[in-house]
Amino acid sequence: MVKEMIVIENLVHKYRTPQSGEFAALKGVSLQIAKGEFVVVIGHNGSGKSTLAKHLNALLLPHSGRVLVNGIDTREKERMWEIRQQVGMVFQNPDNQLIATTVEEDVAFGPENLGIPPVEIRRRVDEAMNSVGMSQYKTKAPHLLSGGQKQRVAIAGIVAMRPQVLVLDEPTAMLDPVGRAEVMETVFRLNREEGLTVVHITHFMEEAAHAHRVIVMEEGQIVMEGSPREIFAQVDRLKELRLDVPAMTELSATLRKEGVKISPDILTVEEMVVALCP
Amino acid sequence: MSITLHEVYHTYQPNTPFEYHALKNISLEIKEGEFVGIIGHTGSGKSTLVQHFNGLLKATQGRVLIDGVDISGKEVKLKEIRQKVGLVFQYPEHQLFEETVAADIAFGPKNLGLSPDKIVKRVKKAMAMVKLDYERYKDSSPFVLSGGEKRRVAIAGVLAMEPKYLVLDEPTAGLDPKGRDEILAQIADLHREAGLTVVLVSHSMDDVARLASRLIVMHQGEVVYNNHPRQVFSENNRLKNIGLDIPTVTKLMIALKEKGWPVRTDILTIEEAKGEILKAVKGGKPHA
Amino acid sequence: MLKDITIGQYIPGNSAIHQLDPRTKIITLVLYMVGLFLVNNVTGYAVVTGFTLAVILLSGISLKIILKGLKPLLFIIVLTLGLHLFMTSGEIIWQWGFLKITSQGLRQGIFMALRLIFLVTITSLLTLTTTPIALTDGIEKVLKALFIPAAHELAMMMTIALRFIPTLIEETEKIMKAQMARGADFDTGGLLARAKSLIPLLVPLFLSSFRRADELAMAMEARCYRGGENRTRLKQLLMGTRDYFAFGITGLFLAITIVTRYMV
Repeated sequence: MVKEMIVIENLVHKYRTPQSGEFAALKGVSLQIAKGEFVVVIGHNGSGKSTLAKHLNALLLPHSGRVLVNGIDTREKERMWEIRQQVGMVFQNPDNQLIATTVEEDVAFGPENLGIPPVEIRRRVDEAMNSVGMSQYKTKAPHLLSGGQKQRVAIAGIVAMRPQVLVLDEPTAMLDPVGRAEVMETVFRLNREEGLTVVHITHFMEEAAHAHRVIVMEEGQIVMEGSPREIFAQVDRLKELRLDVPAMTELSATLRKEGVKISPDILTVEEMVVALCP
Repeated sequence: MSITLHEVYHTYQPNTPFEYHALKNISLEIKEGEFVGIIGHTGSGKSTLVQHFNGLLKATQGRVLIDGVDISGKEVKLKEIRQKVGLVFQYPEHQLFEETVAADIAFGPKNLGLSPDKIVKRVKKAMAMVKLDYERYKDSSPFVLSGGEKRRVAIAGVLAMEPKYLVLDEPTAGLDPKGRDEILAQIADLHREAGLTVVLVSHSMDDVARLASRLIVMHQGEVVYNNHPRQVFSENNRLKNIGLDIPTVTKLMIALKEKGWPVRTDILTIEEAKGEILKAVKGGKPHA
Repeated sequence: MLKDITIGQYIPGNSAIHQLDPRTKIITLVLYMVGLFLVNNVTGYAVVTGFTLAVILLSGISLKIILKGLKPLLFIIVLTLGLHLFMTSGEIIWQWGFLKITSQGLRQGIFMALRLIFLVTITSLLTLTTTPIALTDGIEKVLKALFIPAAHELAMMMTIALRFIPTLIEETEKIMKAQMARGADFDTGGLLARAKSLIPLLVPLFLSSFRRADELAMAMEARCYRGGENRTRLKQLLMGTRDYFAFGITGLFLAITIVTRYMV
């Protein structure tokens, strides 16, 4: 049974800027995301990917079209908090989303807002810190943590609200490679082990390699959609969009042009070695 | 003419419980005309290191010489050192403050006490160097520009000091692939065409490997490598122990070599990798 | 360095003072202040000194840390002492030119300086022994009990301020260095020049603070924050025997100070 967790139909969103007047950030986007799916949305700054993300938990509302979360229309004002509990969101800047002066108090912030009894909050906070591997830091002040650790705390803060969907709006953009790996590992584990539906927004191609589905956005529209292999195999199209192509995929494309018979959808060094040394 | 560090140590909050040795016995030289990459994790000391190049931080011990002048000397004017060694910080767009792009870029030259027409000349030149059209951008507010444009304005602000050495701390952080490629291409131009000595601090091996002619690898406050990228990356295992990654193509060539292929392992780009693989395929690769 | 500033620094511990409910600490602090302003003679000050020292000992905070906290106030303390010393009229005990010290002035000066020292000491003891969260929680509860509106909002503001002070200090240092790399000079020149030199520091700092505030607000909303109503807390405040005991002792202290003022 496949249940659609999120349904986006013909979504249009416009911004008004003082310089250039009205500007459509989303020009009719349609998308369905199934329960338990791991979807990566890739695109440049200004492609509309963050605007799309903010529609998933009613931080922004459609100007036309609609967004359904678990069957609830995000425009239903009285169910806004229900939607936000179900769709948790992690943002780009790790410094600007932690509220409390210790890790555990910050993780507790969401459940506190939901009015959950203290004993239950305690349980959820401990579980959530454990699930992102931050238990030993529970009484630390956020500003003493590394970028990757801060983002894991932010994820724990969402997990403690027991959401169905985790939306990550460029959570790795400001991190170093170690921090990025920490965050991605955490997110993949939550998807695999807890069955959390994940919508991950990024401009790092390599983070898409293990997703179920990749969506490429450009100028407010979805321009490519498919499995990571299907997407990466289109090397020329990706280059035209000036997106990164995984090095091995690019190498396999150039080797094919030279007449070497290997598959066009190679993603990793291991796959390349197997392809070259059968 | 060079930036020379001689047995430099730097300790934060010495003689307190928070004492932290950020740099330990660093000796290195950056010669005029070079393009040097500095690589290391967050906390490896690379940001602390580059702040010694223009005297923003003082060595706890050891000497820093800019073109032969010890910058800890009493008669040394730090402003002159900072003019000579331009330092672009991480997320430099966060330092913009003027109402117009031109005024912001003029901040540095103004601090140097230059005449108004000289300042305008420098602003124009700096904007051309980062490929921002002077007439189009000079009067616009820096705050309405895109992320990539803002960053270029900030870099122009340092270039307007007309430094001889340009040090950039993670200039691509937070940019998308398009913005990243543009900035890196411009930095390469600054080195090749404008003849600037460039020091690029980064945690992206792929970026640095393509551009730098020398690589300094920092780990826990020490220089662990100081060599050509090809030499550095050929020591795969030691880099792995530090937790730094080598470029993906280098990784492939090492894996192929282990399978008995007659390929070179000091490969940095896809083009080079293609050439080596084709040579091996045509020459009849051995089947292990 | 800016990093040396310690605002609301908390020193972990398990002392009797640490374990008091934050509400108890806030209310007894107010009672203590009343006592401190009531005393006006040697006996009174002796009582206050004894009580203050006892509280410090109980807290397990070393005297060194407390003295360090007084250091920034040294100037004001000396000024207070000096003003009273030289400006009070009365029986002259020492004179040098137009400077004269009276016995009343000496007494008054010492009293005022002590009052200031004790005030700062006990207040800093509150922050030294109470986590910022417990402190804001306590303030929120006390304000609510006094029917002061926006108690929750005030407490939330305090929490956010405490959370962001280190971040903003770090940011200030970074912007300062970035501008210095462009030849800015923050240390020399007259008052006006120095004030002007702060613009390149303050403008970016404010801009980034606004950006932070904006992003933080969105993150809070996304985590279902909608004010203090129906909000629960991870940690509940509970008063125990220890707290009642603290109230009793402070009450006694207050009573004694009243006695010293009006009856001795």
